[in-house]
Amino acid sequence: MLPLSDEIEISVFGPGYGESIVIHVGDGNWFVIDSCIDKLTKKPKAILYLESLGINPAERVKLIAATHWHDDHVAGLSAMLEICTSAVFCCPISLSSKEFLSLSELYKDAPVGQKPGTEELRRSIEIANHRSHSQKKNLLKFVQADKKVHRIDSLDVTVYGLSPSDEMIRRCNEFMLTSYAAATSQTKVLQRLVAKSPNDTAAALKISIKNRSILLGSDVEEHGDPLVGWSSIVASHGTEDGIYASYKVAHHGSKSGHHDDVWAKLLVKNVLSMITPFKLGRHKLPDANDRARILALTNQAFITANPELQSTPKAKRPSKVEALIAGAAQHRRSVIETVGHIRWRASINDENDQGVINLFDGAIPLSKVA
Amino acid sequence: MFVSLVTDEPNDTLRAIAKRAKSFNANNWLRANQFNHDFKELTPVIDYSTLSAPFIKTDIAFRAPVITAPRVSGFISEQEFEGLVEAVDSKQKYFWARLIDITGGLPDEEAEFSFSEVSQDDWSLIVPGGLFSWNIGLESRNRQMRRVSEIRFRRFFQFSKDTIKKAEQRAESLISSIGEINYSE
Repeated sequence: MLPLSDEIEISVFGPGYGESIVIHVGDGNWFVIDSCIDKLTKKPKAILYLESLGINPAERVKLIAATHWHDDHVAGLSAMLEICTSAVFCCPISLSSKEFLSLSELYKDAPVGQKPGTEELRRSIEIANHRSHSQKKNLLKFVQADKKVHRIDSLDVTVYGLSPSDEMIRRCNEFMLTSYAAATSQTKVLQRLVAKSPNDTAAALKISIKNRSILLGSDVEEHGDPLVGWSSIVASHGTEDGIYASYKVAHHGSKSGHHDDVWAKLLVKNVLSMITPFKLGRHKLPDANDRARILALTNQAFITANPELQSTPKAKRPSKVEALIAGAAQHRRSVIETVGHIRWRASINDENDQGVINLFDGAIPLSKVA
Repeated sequence: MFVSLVTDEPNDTLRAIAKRAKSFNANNWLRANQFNHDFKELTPVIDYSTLSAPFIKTDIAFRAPVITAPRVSGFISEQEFEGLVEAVDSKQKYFWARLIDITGGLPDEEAEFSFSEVSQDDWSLIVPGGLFSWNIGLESRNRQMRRVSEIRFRRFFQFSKDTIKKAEQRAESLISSIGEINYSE
């Protein structure tokens, strides 16, 4: 069922490794932030969801934002942009650097089956650039701290960048330059580009829809450095910028994505908190300590999938082959799992309307994670 | 196995080759006592560019090399994965990897491996981002078949200078094109 034209909807999708956020900003117009894919169809989950509502993504998706290039945020991103021909594409400004684009151009030709997330970003920038010229519209925008990214006057909707800060941009460029030098070295062994911590690329976004504001924390981290991460966002976030009643919790609810002042100064008490888990090897986020910390801060926390549940592969291979696989590989699990869905709908015009939460496909209240 | 080489233009070179061929016994082994004489004195330096395209006949025969040591004579791959190291615990000596099923195209998996599953020569390559191939199959050695599993890390790959140059050119071209976006929304 479609949301009403004057209803805001935030739908958060997360399969256990990946996330995508679909937002109805009013009057049948939609934004999509980051991308993950459906287990069976391998299509972008956001597209499948919009089509299931009878919406034509080519016409109704007005903005697609990629908050950073990590694999769990960009699966299916360029395919989604191909479909959404009216959408503005935006990504962190550090991903428009020569260092990043040269590196991603290089990995495009790498003889590996598992292309890094840089390729999805590069392809998306290429599509948006080409589309901008062919449609003679500015459909490619870049996000950085304290800058307005996009505005729809008729709906009173604005997207602001809260990060990356200048120092995050500098560090990201430095990382890309080092990675490029390593990739083009004549002595080193080819490796796939891997994420670095702390995340110096992630773009936190503020989306204002009339009097409602949503904080999308991406994978912004906090390590006590005033020039980067949440410290820089909190320091530059003026009180006139308002506070948020809806929060996509940063960095899968982990401790490294937490800053006390975000919860104390930027978010309302018992803020609606939506979390996507992150399962990689023995790492499961949010862990028990993370969950306890978040639940002490809000009684409205929801997660798209239980991080403690594992999906065992059910591959049909010859039994003797399976026996050898099982003998060498321990703790096997399927990477792509069922995509859980948290949906919140509320009146756009009545900011006191608490709205309705619905949970689908394995999404649960955070308090129910065992 | 015999490989025969003949052209349709008998000449001095071919006659020399034919004489050399007589140095082989019935089992096609080179007669040792013929070696010095036939090979050193009768075999001229052959200018292969003077020969026309060869076709198969049986006039002249050269015996193919024979390997007598035990060897792997065949490998039938039953399952191949491309692996990507995602995390490493070098103290406990295990690593986590994402596995792409090259053989069956089944959904990606993640799994934990002990370093002991990998040849020690490759341990220095077990780092996040490291790429490996995991092959499971039937190996034939000395006419004995056995099922084996082998993880080999990728090494020695380099982007060519041409690839690097073209990547930089494409990046610069894209940046230049982005800079020319000067439209309203």
